[in-house]
Amino acid sequence: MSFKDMFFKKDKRFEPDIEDVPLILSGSFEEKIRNITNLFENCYDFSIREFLVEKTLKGCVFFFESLISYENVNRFILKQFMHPCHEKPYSFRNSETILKRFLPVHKAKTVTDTKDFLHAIYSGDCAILVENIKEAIIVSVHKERGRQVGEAIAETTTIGPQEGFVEDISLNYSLLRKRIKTSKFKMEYLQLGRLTKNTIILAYIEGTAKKQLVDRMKKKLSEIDTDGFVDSGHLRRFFQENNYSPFPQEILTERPDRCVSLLLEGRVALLMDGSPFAIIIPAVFIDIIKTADEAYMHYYIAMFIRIIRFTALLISTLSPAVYIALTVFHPGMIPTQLLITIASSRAGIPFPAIAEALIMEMVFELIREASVRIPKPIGPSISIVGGLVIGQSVVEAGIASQAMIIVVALTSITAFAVPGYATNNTLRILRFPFMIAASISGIFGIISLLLIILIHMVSRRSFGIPYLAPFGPLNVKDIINSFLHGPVSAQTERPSYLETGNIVHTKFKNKTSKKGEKNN
Amino acid sequence: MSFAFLSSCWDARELSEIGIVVVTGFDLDDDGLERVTVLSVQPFGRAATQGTTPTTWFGTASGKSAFEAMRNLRQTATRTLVWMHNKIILIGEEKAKKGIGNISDLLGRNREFRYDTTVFVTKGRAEELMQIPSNLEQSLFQELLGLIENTKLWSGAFALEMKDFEHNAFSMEHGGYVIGNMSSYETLKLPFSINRQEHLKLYNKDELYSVAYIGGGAVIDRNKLAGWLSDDEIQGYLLIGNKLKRSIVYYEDQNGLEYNVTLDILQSNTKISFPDASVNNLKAKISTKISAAIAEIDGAIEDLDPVFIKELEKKIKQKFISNMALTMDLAQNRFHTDFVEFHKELSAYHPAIWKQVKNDWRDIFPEIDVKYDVDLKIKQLGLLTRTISKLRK
Repeated sequence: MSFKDMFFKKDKRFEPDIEDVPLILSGSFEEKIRNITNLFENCYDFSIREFLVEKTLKGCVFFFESLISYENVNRFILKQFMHPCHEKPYSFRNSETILKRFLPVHKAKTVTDTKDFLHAIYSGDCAILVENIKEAIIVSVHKERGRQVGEAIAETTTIGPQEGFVEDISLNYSLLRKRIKTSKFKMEYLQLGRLTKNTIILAYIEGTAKKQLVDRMKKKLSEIDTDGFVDSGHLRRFFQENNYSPFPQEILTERPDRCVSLLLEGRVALLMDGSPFAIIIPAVFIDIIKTADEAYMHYYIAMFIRIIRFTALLISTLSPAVYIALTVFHPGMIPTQLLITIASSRAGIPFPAIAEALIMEMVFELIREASVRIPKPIGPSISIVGGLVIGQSVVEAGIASQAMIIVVALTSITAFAVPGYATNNTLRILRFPFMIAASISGIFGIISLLLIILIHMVSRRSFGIPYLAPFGPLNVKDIINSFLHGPVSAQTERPSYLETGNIVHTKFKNKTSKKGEKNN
Repeated sequence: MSFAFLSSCWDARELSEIGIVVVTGFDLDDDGLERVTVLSVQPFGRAATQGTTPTTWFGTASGKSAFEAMRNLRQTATRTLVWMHNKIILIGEEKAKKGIGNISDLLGRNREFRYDTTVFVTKGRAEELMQIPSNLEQSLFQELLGLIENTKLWSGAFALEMKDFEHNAFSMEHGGYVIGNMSSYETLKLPFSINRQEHLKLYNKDELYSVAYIGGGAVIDRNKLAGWLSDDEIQGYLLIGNKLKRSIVYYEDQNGLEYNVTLDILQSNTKISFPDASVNNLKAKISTKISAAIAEIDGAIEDLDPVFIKELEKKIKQKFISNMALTMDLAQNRFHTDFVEFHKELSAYHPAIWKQVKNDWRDIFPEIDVKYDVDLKIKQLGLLTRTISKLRK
């Protein structure tokens, strides 16, 4: 018995269970109906509607009530089959004839396989069985229920389109398709999850996105074997390489305009039904500081904002650690007057600086977690409790110093300056190891930990791309365009680290003009 | 990883445990022991009660050497003292007379002292200067820092930085140097302004108030105090040493027209050179470029035309020359020490000659002829283009 066997028992009883169904589409009409009824026993929302065609022929429709639009079923299927005024009797020997001449619906097919039949029912299609016809006819009548396209909630911007993805996947890919109008914009379909049978759409622009990337994604996704997932955040765990790293290697976005601009850069998007977040791969470290609306602003502002965000990233991760390191280990590095001020505020505090910092950070994290789940009516009171009561009273009581409160508040606020909820969580975690490293050996500890993290990031690859590109293998043009938003005239190429098909995406007219001729 | 567990909190000192020393004074006791006095900032208590309570600790201890005295402070110090924020070093007169070699060594060797600490010599004991109550600030050292700031604008005072102090200490064989003087004087006048009620409470006490000031300097030769320079004498020293920042000169014309002019010196640049230098023939030439502005004129002057300005420049040049000559006289004849740093110029630019005269420098220096070449330019006349007396007409 090795160490591993002692603590990590492999559960050898794992067997993927296959839906044990009888072959539905075999046997007589009655047998078929009986099979289906037995299968969906106790499913309240499953409907079976029997009808008569041409007074003698029996027919039956099956659907999940909750997924279909009644009107379509009534008007285009039941009416068609049951309407008495037919000029001459249609021949119902053949499902081909029914499909081609009888059903005026936009999407219809025949199935013989049980699996396809069931899949169609689950997707919200309507299945039609007619006596004497071997195959089942599937008609698409599903209705979009749920949220309509509205504002993106998790990702707000001041300028730019305000649309956001919703839970229904057909609305989502319609939002994409109406923005990218080329036949090269491919959307490949996959179905994953044994019980949830999610529809996954892999969207990319052929010729622009790296072919190996697309193939790799397809391969990875097809290898997933699990019960199911509910959200794309859940899905991305399955194809993440190197799960131990706290840094994300994909971008989650709720906005179609951002999704489109990333697709144009040469990335690949994954849409999943039931999730308003699209997964964009690959992502490198600098994608943390990018948002959708920078391209819509003047480039000076965009550059400035990106630098601010990067600084905010550093501040929010390092500032409590640096505060601890400087005040405890290196008071000589702080200017005298500032040192006296900090010492005055820290006088009489019963905890050492490290404990004080950890306590205040934990308190703020708890407040943050609480405020996420607070019901709206009580929301404002939490801010009063958090801000005034805790901040003010803690200082007055002498449990924490004002300088510490300032540092912690600064940390929390700058953490929000970094866009992207996914990355935020990473930073929140990283703050604590830095504080502990600072409390062990001051600046030396901080730098050591920084070095370890840097080494980890440098050796990491995100779907084949070095994680610190364009700093890793240094590419100055990419730094100017991807990291700092360069002027429009410089942004003529896609980021080179994505290794896209065609690099140049914008051409400018030749700028050389004769003297006296201003460009109009 | 193992380092994290083994080192624990090595070198960690909480802010509430340290006392930040800001002023250090070195003295000599009557029984020959060295005495070290410190002012250290030690905020204590709770932040809310900080308002008017004093937070600067005054501590003093003696020992056989300065470092031992610093350690002996621990006998009464309530916190661990750190010297990394020390700003002012005061050396008492008695100590300076005996010798400050050990102080230079201590400051240079110790890791905690910074190079921009200012050094001063005190008339009297440093301990007594540090006991002066501050007038308006929270504590004395803030007022002393303010005094040091003002030396940049006034030539009667001079603040020597520790790096120069160390530098000069190493070349003590050949010449001396000057350290600024920070002392206190007594006055009956209240050094701050209050309302009548408070004044009546204090007035009857009839006591002398001590006020700290910076003025003049002390000449150090061979690590011992050789003498004092007054406010006027130090101006010449600063001028020759190219250390003059802002200064004034007052000129009174006695021949013919009676007027007096006060110039505000904006910039000055001095170079010492030894033209045609050889071992037997050492002549020094001090060339100065000064640009000044007219600050005040009184008297019967016709017109401030360029001709008159040129005349003025010529006459005031003489004043500068006499200032510098006065300092040279002090250096060569009174103190017999080269505190004007001729030897540095010579060793830098004429190393061959320096090698030969090095050993006899103390005898050769007083014999050196010095020529002065002052180039004074009055650049600004202020807002008035004529004198007041002329304007009245």
